[in-house]
Amino acid sequence: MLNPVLAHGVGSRGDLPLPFTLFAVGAGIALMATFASLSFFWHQPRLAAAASGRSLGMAFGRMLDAAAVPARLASLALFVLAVASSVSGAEIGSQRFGPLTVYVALWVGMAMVSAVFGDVWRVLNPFETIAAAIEWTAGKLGLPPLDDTGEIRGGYWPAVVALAWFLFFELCYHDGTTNSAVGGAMIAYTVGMVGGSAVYGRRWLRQADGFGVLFSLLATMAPLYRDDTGAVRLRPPLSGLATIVPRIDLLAVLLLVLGGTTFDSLAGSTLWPDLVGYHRGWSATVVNTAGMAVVVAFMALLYYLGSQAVGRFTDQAPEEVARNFAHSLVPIVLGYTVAHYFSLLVIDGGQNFLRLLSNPFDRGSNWFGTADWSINFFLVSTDAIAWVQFLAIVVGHIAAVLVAHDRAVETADASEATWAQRPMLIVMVFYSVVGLWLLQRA
Amino acid sequence: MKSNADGPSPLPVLAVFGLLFSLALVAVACGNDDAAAPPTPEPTATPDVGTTIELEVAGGKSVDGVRRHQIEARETVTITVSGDTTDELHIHGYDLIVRFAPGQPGTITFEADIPGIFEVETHHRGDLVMELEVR
Repeated sequence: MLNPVLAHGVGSRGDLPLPFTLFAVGAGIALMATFASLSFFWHQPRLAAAASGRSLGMAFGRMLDAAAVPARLASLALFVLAVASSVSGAEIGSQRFGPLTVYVALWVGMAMVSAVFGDVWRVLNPFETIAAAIEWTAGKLGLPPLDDTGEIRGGYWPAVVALAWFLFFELCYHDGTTNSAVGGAMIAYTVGMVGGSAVYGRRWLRQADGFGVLFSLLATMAPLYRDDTGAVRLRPPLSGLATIVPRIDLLAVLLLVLGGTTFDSLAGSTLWPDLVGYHRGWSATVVNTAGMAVVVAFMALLYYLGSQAVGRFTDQAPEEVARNFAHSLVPIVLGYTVAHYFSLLVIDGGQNFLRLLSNPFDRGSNWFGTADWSINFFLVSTDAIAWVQFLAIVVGHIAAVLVAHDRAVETADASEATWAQRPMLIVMVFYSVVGLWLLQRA
Repeated sequence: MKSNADGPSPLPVLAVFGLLFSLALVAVACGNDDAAAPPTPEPTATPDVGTTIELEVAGGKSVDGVRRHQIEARETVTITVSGDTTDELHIHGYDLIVRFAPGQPGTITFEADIPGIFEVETHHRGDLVMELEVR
């Protein structure tokens, strides 16, 4: 029925608990100090104006364009390899290449790459490549091209559904790290993406590819982006957040991912079995799904209550406040992702991915010379991991407070804005304390 | 838009936050004390052989419940497992297997040289039976 060797297909170690009190006091002081000092020196909105940045010239852009085609093909090859490896059921030791590709390289790796280097996924997205190939073939067969302009109905809600589908497999389904689950889920996702773009045109991907929508949100934090002319531009980190369109469906994307990561942290803590006991099989799936839904709803409720309280001070509807400050959740999502998955990326998960890249079918191949690597568990010390976790959560929330303040001073002067924003500060302090607390109970 | 038009000074606001925050912290920290007390194993071994952990499994589950055993990095650990079924113990991360059967306990001794938290499961049943915390 279930092969326990396959449990925990990605990640074989957990991080040590953080010393909670010390870190939580530090986090609280840092957040409040940021909040207080902003009212003294941040009187005008600055981010939106800074977000256009300065051009690094067209030559850089053309160079990236030249690299885009090989990068696109390499990404497609990796995707096909991961699906083929999963479908063939290859396992090397207790590790599998397909699940590592999706849960470590894509979910964690691309999230961090996007936040540092910008919207790289737009180039690497294999669904885009497949859809483009089909479109090109259809054109050759004389079929009329599909409309690719504007927006289809439903906004980004298809992306919310796509991300929920992914999170269900990653965090809820009891066999979610097996080859069969990951292979099946990847094929189903591909059918949804490519099928949708066959009906609605490739604009479907911009609204339905959950990875793409999330990564493009994270990419607005990056100091690099490309403008409409294709030029690469340099801008202050975080400034791009001010360009995110305030929408409820994008807010839903962020709250879902934030809640998902928080649930993962909770489910890995000693608190979770104390709450729900130990479950296996479908019973675990049901308990996890319910748990994740509750955590997502809880994070969303906190945010809504914060918005409602802010709205009372600024005479705005809670929905309007919620939309306007949704972009401040992006650095928190990144902070939680780094805090929770950094060690997985640099130690067992990432190293196993690179190792199996040379031998994805377990046939003794060694394509890139990495197949014989053994995992270096000491690449990063446990102290360093603890500091990364702490700083990721604290810096993420400080960035959120800063970005929210920048939006608030668009319509109010600095001290009014600080006054009106304090319910949101409570929400931020609460988010960060919850994040640190769960890491303490690891 | 203009409620609190005079823009109250942020300092009293911060004082209130500080108070709330400290209260929340105290509540959380107190709530922790009983639960976070690490279930350390009784030192049943002589110092020469490092830490010895004895585990009894019935129906795939640990008789004493799932406990976390804390050990120092590079300490020598001996795990002895007895059970009422034929099964294997799988120590994640270290990727070690210990076989056991009714009346035939299994034993393994190794140096705990990888820091982190590791799950230990029965292989066939797939139940979590204990955790190793190596620091």
